[in-house]
Amino acid sequence: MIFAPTQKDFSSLLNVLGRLSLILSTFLLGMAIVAAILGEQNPFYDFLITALLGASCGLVFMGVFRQEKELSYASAFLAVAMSWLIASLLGALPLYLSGHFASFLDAFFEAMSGFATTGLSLVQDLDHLAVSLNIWRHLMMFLGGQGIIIVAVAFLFKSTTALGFYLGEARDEKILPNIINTSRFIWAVSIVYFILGSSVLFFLGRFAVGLNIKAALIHSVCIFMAAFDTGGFTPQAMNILYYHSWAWEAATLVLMLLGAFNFNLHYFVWMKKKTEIGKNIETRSFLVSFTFLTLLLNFALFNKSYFSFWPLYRNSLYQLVSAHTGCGFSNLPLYSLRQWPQAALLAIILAMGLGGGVCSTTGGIKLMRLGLIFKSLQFEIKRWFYPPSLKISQKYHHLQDFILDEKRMVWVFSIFFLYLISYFVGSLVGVLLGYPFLPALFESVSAAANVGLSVGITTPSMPSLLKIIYIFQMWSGRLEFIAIGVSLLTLSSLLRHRRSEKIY
Amino acid sequence: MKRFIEVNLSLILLLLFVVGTAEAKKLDIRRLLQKSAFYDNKVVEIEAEAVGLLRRKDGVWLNVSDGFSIGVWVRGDKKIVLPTRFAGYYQEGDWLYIKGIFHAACRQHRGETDIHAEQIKLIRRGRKKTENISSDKKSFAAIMLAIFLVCAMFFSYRQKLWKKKS
Repeated sequence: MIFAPTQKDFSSLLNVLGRLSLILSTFLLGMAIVAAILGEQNPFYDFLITALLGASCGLVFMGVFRQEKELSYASAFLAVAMSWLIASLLGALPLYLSGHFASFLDAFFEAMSGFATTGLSLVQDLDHLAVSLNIWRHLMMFLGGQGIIIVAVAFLFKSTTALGFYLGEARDEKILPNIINTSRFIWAVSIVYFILGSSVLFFLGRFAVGLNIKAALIHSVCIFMAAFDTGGFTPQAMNILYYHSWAWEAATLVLMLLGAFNFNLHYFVWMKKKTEIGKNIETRSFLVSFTFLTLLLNFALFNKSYFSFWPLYRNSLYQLVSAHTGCGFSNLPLYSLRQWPQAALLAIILAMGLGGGVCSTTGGIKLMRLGLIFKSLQFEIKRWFYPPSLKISQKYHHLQDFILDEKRMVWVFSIFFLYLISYFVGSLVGVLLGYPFLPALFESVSAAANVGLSVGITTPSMPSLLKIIYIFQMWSGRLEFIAIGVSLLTLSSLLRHRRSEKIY
Repeated sequence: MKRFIEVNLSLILLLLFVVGTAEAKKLDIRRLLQKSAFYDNKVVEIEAEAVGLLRRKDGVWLNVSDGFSIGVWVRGDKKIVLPTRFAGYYQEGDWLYIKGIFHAACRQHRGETDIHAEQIKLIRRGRKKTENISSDKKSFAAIMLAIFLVCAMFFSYRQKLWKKKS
C-alpha cells in the first residue's frame, strides 16, 4: 500500500502547527509580564513582539487551515519535528534582539540547545544578560525536557493524535493506558519535583551558598529547570562553580539523576513497587556503566594534580554524573576539561554517549538499549554454547518480565547505530574544519546526545557550518532520528501528492 | 672596553628581567586557567569585574570576570574592602585589582580552582547604565499588536463560517 497524504492531512498538520505556535506565544507573553515585573524594558518589548508574531502566525494557520481529520502517525511525527524548529525560531527571536548573540544563527543555536535540553551555549557576556531572558533560556529547557508537544497533548488534543505526538517525541513507553493521562502524569510528577526541588535549592541558596533572597529565588528556579530536565544552562557564566558549595552540587546531582530516570520508574516507585528500582534493567545498566566509567576516570586522573580525595571525587564524579545524565553542568572552570588526560575525556565521552533512561528528559543511546544490547550478546553466547535442539530465550525486567524478541532488537540496534553515525559525522566535520579528533568527538557527542559539556569548541567564533551541524545533531538526537526520517518521507509524499493533484 | 661591555650587558639583562617579571604580573584569567599547573600556589595579580558576592561564616566568596571567571576567597579576618556593585543587566560591576595565591585544586575548598586574596583594590567604581529603548522597537510592537488583532478577527470570522457550514 502506498501512503499518500491528502489535502486534509496537509490542512490538519498546519492547523496543529498553528495551535502549537499559539501555545508558545502564551509562554512568551508570560515572559513579557515577568520582564515588566522585573523592570526590564527592552526584554519586555522583545518578548511582546515575539509573542504577537507567534500568535498572529498561529491564528492565521488556524484560520486558513482547518483540522479536518485526526493526524496519522506519519503526519504527527512531521508535526513534532516541525514544532521543534518553529519553537526554536520563536524562542531565538527575543534572544537575538537582546544583542547578546553575534548573529541570528547563534540565537537559534541557543534556542535549539534549550529546547533540546542540550546546554551548549553561544551567549556572549552572560553575566550582563537580563534576568527575564535568563529565565527564558531555562524555561525553554523545561518545556523541551517535558516535551513541547506533551504540553499540547495534555490539554488540547484527542487521544489518537496524541499518541502519534508522544511517540514522535522519542518516548517509547506509555505510563498509563491513556496517552493524555500519561502526559498529565508526566506534568504532575514534574510539578511536584519542581516545588520540592526549587524549595530545597532556595533553602540551600539562601543559607549554604549565601545568595540574597531575590537571587536565591531566581537561581533555584533556573537551576531546577536545567537540572531536572537535564539541560545544563546556568544563570551565570561560571556555571555551577559560581556557588562554591558542595551541598548545592549534591542537590543538583540528585535532581540530575531524578531527571535521567524513566518516568515509568518514577510512577512505579511512587504508586506500586519500591523494589522495582533494584530489578529494573535501566537501573542495573546505569550501575554497571557508572561503576566502570568511575574506575576508568579515577584511574586516568589519579596521577594528575587530582591527588587528594576531595578534588578527585568532587570534580570527577560531578562531571561523570553530569555527562551520564545528559545534563552538562560543570563545577570546573571554563574549558578546564581540555586539560584532562585523554583517557579521562574518553570516559566522559562514553558517559555522554550512553545517556539516561528512555521516557526521561535525557538524550543519547539510553540505558535500556545498552542493557538490551548486553542481553542480546548474552543470548548469542548461550545460543552457541547449548545444543541446537534446546530452545533458549532471554528475559529482561522492565516493570515486568519480557522475553527478548527480534523485532525489539532490530529497533534497538537501529537507534544505536544512528547515534554512532551522528557522533561520527559531527566529529568528522569538526576534524575537517581543523579541530583535533578527541575534542571534535567530545563536542559532537555532547551535541548529539544533548549533554552540553564543552572542551571549548562551542564558541561564537566557531565556523557557521559546525554550528549548523550541531543544531541538526541536537534536533535529530532529541527526537531520536526516527521522527526526522518519517517526517522527511511524509513531507516528500505530501509534496508529491500535491503536485500530482495539480497535474490531474 | 671589556668592563664597559660587561656593565652594559648586565644592565640589559637586568632590564629584561624587570620587563619579564612585570609582564608575568599582567595576568588574565584565561591564561591563569590554561596554565593552572604552572601558576599553582603562586602569587598572582589580576584585574576583573565583580560578578557576585557570597557570604560565608568564615569569609566571603567573590566571583570575578574579565571574560573568563574565577572565584576569589576573602578570609573573614582580612581587612579588605569588598566591592558593592556587581555585574548585571545594564549594571557594570566594580572593576578590581586582586592580588593573591592561586590554587589549581584548593585543599581548603575541596578541590576548587580559586585565588586566596591578599589584597583587593578598587580600580573603577561600577555604575548603573540607563536603559534606552529605541522608538522603532515601540512602533514595531504597536504594529505587531495591530496585526495580531486583525488576525484574531480573521480567525474568529473563519470559525463562525465553519460552524455555519457544519
